[in-house]
Amino acid sequence: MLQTLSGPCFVASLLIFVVGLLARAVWYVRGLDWRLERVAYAYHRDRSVSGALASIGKWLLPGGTAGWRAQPVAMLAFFLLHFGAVLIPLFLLGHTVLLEETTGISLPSLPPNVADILCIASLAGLGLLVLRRLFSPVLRQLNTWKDWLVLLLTFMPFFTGLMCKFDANAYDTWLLLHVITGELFLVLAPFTKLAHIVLFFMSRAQLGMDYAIKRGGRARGGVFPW
Amino acid sequence: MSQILCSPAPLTTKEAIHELLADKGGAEYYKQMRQLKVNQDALAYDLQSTCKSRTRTWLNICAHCGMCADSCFFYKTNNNDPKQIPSYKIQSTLGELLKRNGRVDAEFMMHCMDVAWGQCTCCNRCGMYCPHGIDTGVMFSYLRGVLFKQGFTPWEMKIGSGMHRVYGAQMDVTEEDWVDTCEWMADENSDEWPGLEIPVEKVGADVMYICNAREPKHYPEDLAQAAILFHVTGTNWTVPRVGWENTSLTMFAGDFEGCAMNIKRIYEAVERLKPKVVVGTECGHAHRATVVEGPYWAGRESGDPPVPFMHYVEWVAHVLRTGKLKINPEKKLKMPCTLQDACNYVRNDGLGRYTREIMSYIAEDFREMDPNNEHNFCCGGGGGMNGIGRYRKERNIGLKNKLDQIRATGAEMVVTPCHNCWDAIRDMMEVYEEHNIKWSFLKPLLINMMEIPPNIEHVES
Amino acid sequence: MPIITLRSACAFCCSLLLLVLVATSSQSAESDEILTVSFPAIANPSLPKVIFNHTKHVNYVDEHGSDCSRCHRVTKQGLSTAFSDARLQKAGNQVSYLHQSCTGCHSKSGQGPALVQCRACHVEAASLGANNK
Repeated sequence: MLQTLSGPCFVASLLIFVVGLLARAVWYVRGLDWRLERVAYAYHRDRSVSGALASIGKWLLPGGTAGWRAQPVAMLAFFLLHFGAVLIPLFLLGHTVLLEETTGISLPSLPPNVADILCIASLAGLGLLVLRRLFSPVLRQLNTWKDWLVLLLTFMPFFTGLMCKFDANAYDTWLLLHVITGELFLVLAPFTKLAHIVLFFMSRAQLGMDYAIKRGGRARGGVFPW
Repeated sequence: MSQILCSPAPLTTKEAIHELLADKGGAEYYKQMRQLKVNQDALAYDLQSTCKSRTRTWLNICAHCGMCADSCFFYKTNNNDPKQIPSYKIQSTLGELLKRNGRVDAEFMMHCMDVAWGQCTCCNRCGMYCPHGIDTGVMFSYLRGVLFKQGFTPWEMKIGSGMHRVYGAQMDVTEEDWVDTCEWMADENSDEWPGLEIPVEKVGADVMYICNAREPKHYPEDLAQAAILFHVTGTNWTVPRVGWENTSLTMFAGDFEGCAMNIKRIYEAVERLKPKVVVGTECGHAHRATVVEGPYWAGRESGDPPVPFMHYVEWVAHVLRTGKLKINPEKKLKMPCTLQDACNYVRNDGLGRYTREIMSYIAEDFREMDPNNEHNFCCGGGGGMNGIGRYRKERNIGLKNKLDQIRATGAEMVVTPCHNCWDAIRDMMEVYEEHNIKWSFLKPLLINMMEIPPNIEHVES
Repeated sequence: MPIITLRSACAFCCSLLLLVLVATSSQSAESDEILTVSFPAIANPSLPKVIFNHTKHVNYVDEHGSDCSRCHRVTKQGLSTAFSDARLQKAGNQVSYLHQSCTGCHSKSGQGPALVQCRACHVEAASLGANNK
């Protein structure tokens, strides 16, 4: 079973992930309408490109925006989670080997200790996010099952992956769970809020361009003081 | 009353406006609204054809992280009421409307109306605090458009939209009234300022000046002050006969067809008079409607107006910088002063640096509010809220936020180059009985402290 | 018969080979030969070296009508200690070659760990026996 899951199933879920997210990105861009949004996307390249990049870049930096600085706890939780969530799936040694053997794409790999620390940090970040969701009155007003689903989908691969390492006696069981939950994450990402993996960039770029092209770019230039 | 007051059709005649005005406070209008039939097919079609990937993605990927909550002054002033979280407000209205694909009743539409106009001023502040770049203010503005098309618009906004369609101005000021007021103000002040003119429809002037209908209608001295400042700075200026009004209650009302009519009137005046630049009065939403959003309603692909348009603060900063207007240092504001950043031209058009430049010329003790500039809070009355009786209570609660901000600076004067902010600040001082803080537009302040150049004749009155 | 000769030669060489390899590996239960893959030598390995049950592999090869040459090349110096053509691979490709060869055969035969089961083969010598069934 593991052969099938880690072979053809892995390739299939990777394909769904990549094609699905690409489709969402394409659908996003194709759905933009300069008249409806009132943003002249094709004009003012001198400031629109920097506007889009600043809008993405500043939010990728911890403390890079007033929004992050205003909410240090939320910021900490997000970044703890996302450092690992971006780096581990792509650069963990086992993942790079699997990726190379199945797709031929060769990526550098993280030192195992660093990967362990990142993974534990991500789980800590997830824990903080869960606590926020449970106890913040704001989040309690907003919570839906979809938000919990996303947290669960994210938690499982991290947790089972870490257990593979720390519970060697049940290695095969944890590994099987890890492969299943990892692939579930890949397959569901394009259809859930996990699609923000690409749509974050689209949406941020759009708002950055809106401010750079229309709302003040003329006076302010491309870089909005996020 | 037996006539139909509330319907999806916009007001297009004087009679219709007067009939609706006669319904005091819109009592009958709102009663009829409750019985209004939602055209679900048309609604579904509108949502399908105008709600595209940007908005749907915004609603879709909202992580419900709650980071927008604290950015909203309604949330803050309502004791952190979870129902005032921007994300919740939009998800429970537009989000729900999309989920049900327009299969909703009048009660739900009225709820949407009460949120879209009564709990959001479209200040766009929350959009700056969302990691995903979700601009809820933009979505509420869109929702207002959807609601307007179905007839679910607050009474005053419906009237405002009708005014623009019938009079080409937000108030019932006819072309004749306008031209008369210009002549009257020029006459009235020419004893003190010999040679003062308000040139109407002069082709080829450097500056075409456009303003808010409240100015000729309720405080025409504002128009006179604009004239004096143009006169003193030796500006070759004019006002158009038609297309002189740059506000857009149609924008607040969600009447985007009406918005297009407004802007085309103004751009036509530009075409007729061929000014080098257009200067708009001290009004935030007028600037937004004419300069920021306007070009799009006029179908201009570049998103730019046909000639450069300046907000009044840009023009003032320019004449101060170039020395055309000189300030008497003795007469600079001595008391502690602060500055109200209007969302519509500061956050949404980047003009905060010009207002600050002006403050450096006119105030000795200038104190910033916290937060300020792009991160400012709405005055509390934006997006049409000042004018809507139905949400007066909600507005007054929200005003407290700005009052606290002003008080924290210790300022005794709030420089307020925006009509809406000016109203909100006047009202908050009254509602919260604050009698020690003054507020003012720029024009009267400048006239009091300017140096009159030797070539300009001035007779002390 | 040449085949018989080759087989006995192989057997002889294998025993020699074992002497070399077993020296570094610990002997588990019964009398199975548990070997450590020592080629290629990796300076700072991220994971423990691969340890495998050589007896099981020999038995499998035997039962399926093949011989040592299934995994070892005969050179002028005798039977190669390294796996198959591992030494002929470019330096950067040797690990990948072994991954593909080992798990490829496991996959075809339906036995042995898959590529994802990193720690089925990369085990600490100390914990031997737990996974190398």
